[in-house]
Amino acid sequence: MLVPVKWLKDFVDVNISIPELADKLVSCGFEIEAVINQADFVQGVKTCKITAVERHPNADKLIVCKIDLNDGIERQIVTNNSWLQAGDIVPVALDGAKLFSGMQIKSGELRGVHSDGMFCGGSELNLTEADYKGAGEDKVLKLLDNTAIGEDINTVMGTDDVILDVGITANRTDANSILGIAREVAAVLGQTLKMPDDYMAVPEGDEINAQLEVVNQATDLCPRYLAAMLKDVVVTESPEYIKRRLKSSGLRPINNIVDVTNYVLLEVGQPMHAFDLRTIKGGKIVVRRANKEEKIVALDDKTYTLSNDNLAICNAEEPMAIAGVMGGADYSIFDDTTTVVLESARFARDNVRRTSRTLGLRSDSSARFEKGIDFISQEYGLQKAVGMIVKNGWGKLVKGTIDNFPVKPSTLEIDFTAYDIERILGIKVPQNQIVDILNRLTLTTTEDGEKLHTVIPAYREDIVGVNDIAEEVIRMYGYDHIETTLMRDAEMTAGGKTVKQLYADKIKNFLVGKGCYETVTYSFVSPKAWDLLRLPQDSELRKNVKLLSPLGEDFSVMRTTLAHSMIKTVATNVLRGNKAGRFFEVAKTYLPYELPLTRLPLEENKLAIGAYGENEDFYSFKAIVEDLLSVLRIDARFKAVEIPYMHPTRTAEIVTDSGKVIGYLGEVRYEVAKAYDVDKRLYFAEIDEEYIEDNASDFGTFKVVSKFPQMERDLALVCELSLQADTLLDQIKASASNLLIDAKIFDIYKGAQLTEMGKMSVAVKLTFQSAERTLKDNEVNQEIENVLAGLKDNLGITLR
Amino acid sequence: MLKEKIDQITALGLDAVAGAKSSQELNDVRVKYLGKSGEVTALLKSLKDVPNAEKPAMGKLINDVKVKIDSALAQREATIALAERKAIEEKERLDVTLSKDNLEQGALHPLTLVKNEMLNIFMGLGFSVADGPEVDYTRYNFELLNIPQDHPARDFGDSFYINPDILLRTQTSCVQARVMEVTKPPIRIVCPGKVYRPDDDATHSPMFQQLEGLVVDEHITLADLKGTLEEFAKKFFSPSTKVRFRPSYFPFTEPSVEVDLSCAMCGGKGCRLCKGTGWIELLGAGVVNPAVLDACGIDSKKYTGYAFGVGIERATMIKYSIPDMRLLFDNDIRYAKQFK
Repeated sequence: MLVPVKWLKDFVDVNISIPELADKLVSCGFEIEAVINQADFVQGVKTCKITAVERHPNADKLIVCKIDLNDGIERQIVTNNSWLQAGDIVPVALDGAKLFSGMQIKSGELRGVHSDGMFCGGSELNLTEADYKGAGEDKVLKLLDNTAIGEDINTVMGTDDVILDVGITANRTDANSILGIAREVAAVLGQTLKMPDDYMAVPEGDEINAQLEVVNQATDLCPRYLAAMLKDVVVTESPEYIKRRLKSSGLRPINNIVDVTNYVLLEVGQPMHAFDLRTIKGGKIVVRRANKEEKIVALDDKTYTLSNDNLAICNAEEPMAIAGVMGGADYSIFDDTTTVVLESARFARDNVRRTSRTLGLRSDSSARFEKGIDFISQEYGLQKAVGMIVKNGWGKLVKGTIDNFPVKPSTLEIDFTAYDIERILGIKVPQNQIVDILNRLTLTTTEDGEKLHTVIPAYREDIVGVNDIAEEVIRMYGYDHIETTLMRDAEMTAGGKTVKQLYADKIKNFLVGKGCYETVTYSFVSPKAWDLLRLPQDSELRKNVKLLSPLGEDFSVMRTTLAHSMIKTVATNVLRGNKAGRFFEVAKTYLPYELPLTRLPLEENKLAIGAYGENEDFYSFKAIVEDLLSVLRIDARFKAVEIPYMHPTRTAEIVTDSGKVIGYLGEVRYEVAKAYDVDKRLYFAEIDEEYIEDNASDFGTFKVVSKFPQMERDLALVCELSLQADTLLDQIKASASNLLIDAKIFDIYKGAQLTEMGKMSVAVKLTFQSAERTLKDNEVNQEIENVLAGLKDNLGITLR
Repeated sequence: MLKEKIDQITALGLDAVAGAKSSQELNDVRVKYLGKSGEVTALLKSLKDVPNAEKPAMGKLINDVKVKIDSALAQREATIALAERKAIEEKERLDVTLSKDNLEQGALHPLTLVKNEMLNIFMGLGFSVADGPEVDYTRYNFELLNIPQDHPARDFGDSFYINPDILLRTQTSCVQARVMEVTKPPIRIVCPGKVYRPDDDATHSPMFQQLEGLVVDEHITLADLKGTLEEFAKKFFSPSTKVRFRPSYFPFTEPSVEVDLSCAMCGGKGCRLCKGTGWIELLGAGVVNPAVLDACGIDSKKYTGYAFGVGIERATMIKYSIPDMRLLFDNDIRYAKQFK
């Protein structure tokens, strides 16, 4: 909200500096987003009178003007505006001046003749035709003959104000106006608000009723419709002060009547609309929901097709305005308008917002209604508008108003004590201070001993209870008065993380130790990701939660797997020339129970691990997961599996003892890596994080290590080429007694002689140990015999 | 006669010991003099020819020779061993400035580092860590938080909706409502998590993380909120960090405040980071609106509470001087490595 300080001074005596004012507003809850000094835009430009005009000796198109700045110094300006004559008053930028474009002026020579600066046109001074006659032309601006000489151009044009850009929080709808901010400033400065004398109450009577009727058929969308009428209206250009103020708030002046409604919007915060009585067919304003397909050409000359959801202000026949948003082009104020109907209404903000959104039509009025209008502004607005028109002699009042206001809200009154405030704030604010602060804020407060009673004015719809009163008190009393405490009167709580949360930390820290870097990627992906991953059309992973209005297709569906995000992260690193890397991310996947959603989707944390590099292979990658599961004491096995985006012969699923698949790992399919522009082997794992957090356990009972020696035996076994390691080791363990404490494969040899027969040689190291005694050779030999027998009988494996 | 021989052997023996260059040579000397058929052993054998009266004296002399040579041997042995070890060590000399490839430790994401640091501070104050869904009902994201149907914050353009009743949560405050609905006071929780809003520029990301705090109990006040945030600020930035409250508005708190911390970089003098103000806006907070307590089934006459929310990305950017929020989602290993 732009607040010109001079305008503010209509209501309150700002007797402190601008920075102090800004600080005070910040401390009571109004952020100052910018302080705009209008005079900063154009500096050092002054008015001067041309005293003589001479021909330039070296250039036909140039003239040399002697000028007077009323300071006794003789100066001359060289210009190509050869139409200028002695006696003309024009703006001149002397040496050191700054124009609106930012250009700095220097004195110098033009074709051999000295010039002390340059004359300025309107655009160089940020002026338009609406600001000053002639300012819109592309030539030096000729000022009125009675303009003072030697004055700063900002003073002459009235562009010497300071404008505060004030941030208004959503609850303070009342503060979205000069009047609203003035109320706050008055409260902060301890002053009484002075209302300017051009607020004029409409005299009572029923003259208006003879010519106009208001029928409100949609009181839910229009809880109040207030109208007044002016006759003998003269439509003309607004005076400078009105145009200036509209302009300093970013509005374009149009004509006096329209300008008045805009002026009121800024000063009071009440959007108004002016109708020409001639266009109100049937002398009837009907407030109703638009009919389906009803059309209106708005003031922007575009045709809008309305629906039953839009509120229209109609005459007896058709819509004249889209309520609160924009008037119709054929129902505005014309040069020959003589009778004006002023509308000052409250429209439901969500309806205005929806209408504005669906029609794609915004206006200062709709923006204001969307923020919310109170029930008192209609009167203030009307008083101000009528006052401006009448006092300027632009029209005469028709007696009486029409006030369609079926349900008048009751005045809210709040009873409380100083202790109620203390209970919220945690500090004691003296009762007399509370009363003083509230009264300064026009929250009329009376005391009866310890009982306080506050009457809430209609424009403070944000205040509904004691907490709001407490906020009013502390924002004026000052937050720096709060002496901090640390919940000294509350019950102690144990706090901390749950076991599951602690395991989540442990998992992350484990992975960091394995050289993995944690990544964070967006939860939404492009649906094209599913094609990159070569998911079949009927894949469950394609059933995703879709956003209604995403930031773009790339961010439009909630991921059902972390595969795309992780492969993309790894690919990005490859493409940027990073030689190797291990990465992990713990994030949610979103799996809908049904589509479209009728309940929340299943959100499950998944652990994704990705890796690539010269030293990475399937087994080094798998080792990360194996070690993780062993650290978490989760027993699981690996089983070859086919997954669309994974290498068909180098991918394993992770299966728990109870047969639950809790993830998969392996090499990314060649074609998929290619689809991500990568020509390297990439490794990827996705694990059910929730499962491993839920089922993890720490080490159990401590076991004393056997002090008796270990006995090791190596066996070279001839096995089928297709034999899997786990089958072999399982068989060995099954045949040995519990003296076998470890069995490991330490070499696999696939010599040509063997492979021709479909065989390979596998070297196994078996370790035996007893907790009670030193093992004898023959005991171990017996174990080996048992193992070999088991291998031969069950798997056809022989000793090499 | 024998005595002369003894002296001669002594001198020869000691010379031989001194002259030995390696443990092998030294061993040869030992055998030559002290071995079974060595010189000194021979002397002892010749003792039988010595008259009985001289035997003890001669015997002693011979024994002294043995001791002398023995001790010289031991000394020489130690010297040679040392030299030999030295020679080996010299041969084994490595260029200690050389490095080999090694599996380096990875790193947590800076957002996790900052989140963990925040959690640790609040856990020390008795807070538990709560969690909730990211795809949530408008009931938790809006209704229960005192954001009515016609509130502009509910605009379709300001949130990622899935359908009119379900959306990606725009704030972790939903977890507040979810916790309060099922838990009775005392409540003291922090909930970190991802939230989503349709903004994307250098200081906004469509997905970002918040850390929400909620305390509900008897006698909880705005002064407690300030005290808690002051503890947090001192631990998170520095012991000299100051906290400033500015009035603000959030539908679910009343009074509501913006919380500024004195600038971590300049200490409040004014710098580029704080744009010369000396303060950095980091949190939104306030006293829980009694309407929210009541809507969640907690008696607002008996209980009061406070709540706060902090953007983890923003705190991370301030803490590590990260110039653009999008870098936090870049995931280039060269960025990741900086956070070891």
